[in-house]
Amino acid sequence: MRIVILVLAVILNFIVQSSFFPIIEIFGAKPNTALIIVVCAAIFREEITGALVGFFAGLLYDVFFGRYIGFCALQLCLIGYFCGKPYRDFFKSNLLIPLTLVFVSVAFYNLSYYVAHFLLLARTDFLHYVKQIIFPETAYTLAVTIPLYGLAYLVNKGLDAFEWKRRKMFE
Amino acid sequence: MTFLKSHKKAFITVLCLICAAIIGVTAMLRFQPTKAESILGYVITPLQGLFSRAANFVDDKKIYFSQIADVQAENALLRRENAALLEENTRLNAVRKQNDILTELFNIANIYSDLPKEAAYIIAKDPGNWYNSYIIDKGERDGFAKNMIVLTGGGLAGKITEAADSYSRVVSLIDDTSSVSAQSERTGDMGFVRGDARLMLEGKCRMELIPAEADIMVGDTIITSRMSSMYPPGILIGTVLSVSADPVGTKTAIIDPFADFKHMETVLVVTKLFGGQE
Repeated sequence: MRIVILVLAVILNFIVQSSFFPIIEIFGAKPNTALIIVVCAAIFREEITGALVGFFAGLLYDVFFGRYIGFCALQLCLIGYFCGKPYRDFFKSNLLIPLTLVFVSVAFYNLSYYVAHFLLLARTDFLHYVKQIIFPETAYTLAVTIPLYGLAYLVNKGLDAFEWKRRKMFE
Repeated sequence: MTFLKSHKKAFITVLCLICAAIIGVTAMLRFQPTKAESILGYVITPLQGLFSRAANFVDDKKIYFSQIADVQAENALLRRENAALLEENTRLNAVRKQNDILTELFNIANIYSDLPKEAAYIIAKDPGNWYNSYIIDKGERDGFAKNMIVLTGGGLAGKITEAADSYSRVVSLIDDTSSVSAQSERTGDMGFVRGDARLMLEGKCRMELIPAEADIMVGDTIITSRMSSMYPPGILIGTVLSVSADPVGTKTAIIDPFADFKHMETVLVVTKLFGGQE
């Protein structure tokens, strides 16, 4: 059940992201909802799930738009893995932790993207890229995290209750 | 799952190594989409098509409601302008006839009408903020191939970098990896039109490596050059917005492309390849 929902969320998100987002962009920036889904999966389900969701979400992006297939998969699976680390250390209803994790993840995602795709081609004008691309995307993604995390929280609660009921039925 | 949980470090290392291996293999030999990609395309692209049609519909309606007040004022203005344009049009018609005669004399073929073209619908856009590429709803089975050029709004939009069976990927003119050999229509000064991630969000690009002595001015029309091995000569690219001198002695111009990348819905693909690789 959980797997079905995660797969559906990843695929549906990719389709919506690639076809609907041009109309909600602000100053040319689009929120990175795939990353939010990976972070949410990691927060509610530890490292392994986070890494796997990240790997497949990234691979889906790479197959259609990636310059090197596997790069985005690598980024997102690392993000999923490390965001699953503090799994046991905080209450899931606290919004500060997901916001911090998303902020760090977006920063890591964009910095590694910049280094691999631009700095290595001698585009050293880093501050300009921060201003034009990294900062708007980070701000927009953080704003979108709040409602999406709320949704993920509710879905997770529902799934927990569902699994709990089934376990009791069989015991 | 319990096995994986007890070997987390090993698991993430293996996953990373898999990614690295895929990156290595595809970076070295990225030619055509594999069978797996094409199958994935069959599942995903119809849905993308559906969604982007819906998105375009919403976009149109959004514009409709937000602009209805402006439209009336604009209408009055346009009526006045229309009268002036009508007068100008008759005058230009005479000029065009003259031009036709002169063109025939010079024996310059009309490049656009000679090219075999096929329309395609844009069904997805790169959701990232670093690059500008599109998925269109036709592929190899419609006769599309890698390196075919893509036109929209009377100008160059980009080229196909990947043709799968049912879809193709178009990398646009303003994408950071795009580079086109170009020249000024008026003076023939050469340069390279390159995409730039910093200008991409405004839908603009730059023309680099223009010789210092070149006579290039704001408002000049830029077209693809005769030196290009991939693009046919004379395809419209855009107009010059500003020119600046580089410290190394060349000039760089900011180009405003004729193609409107923000509101692009359909494109024309030239179903003919021009020579070799660039």
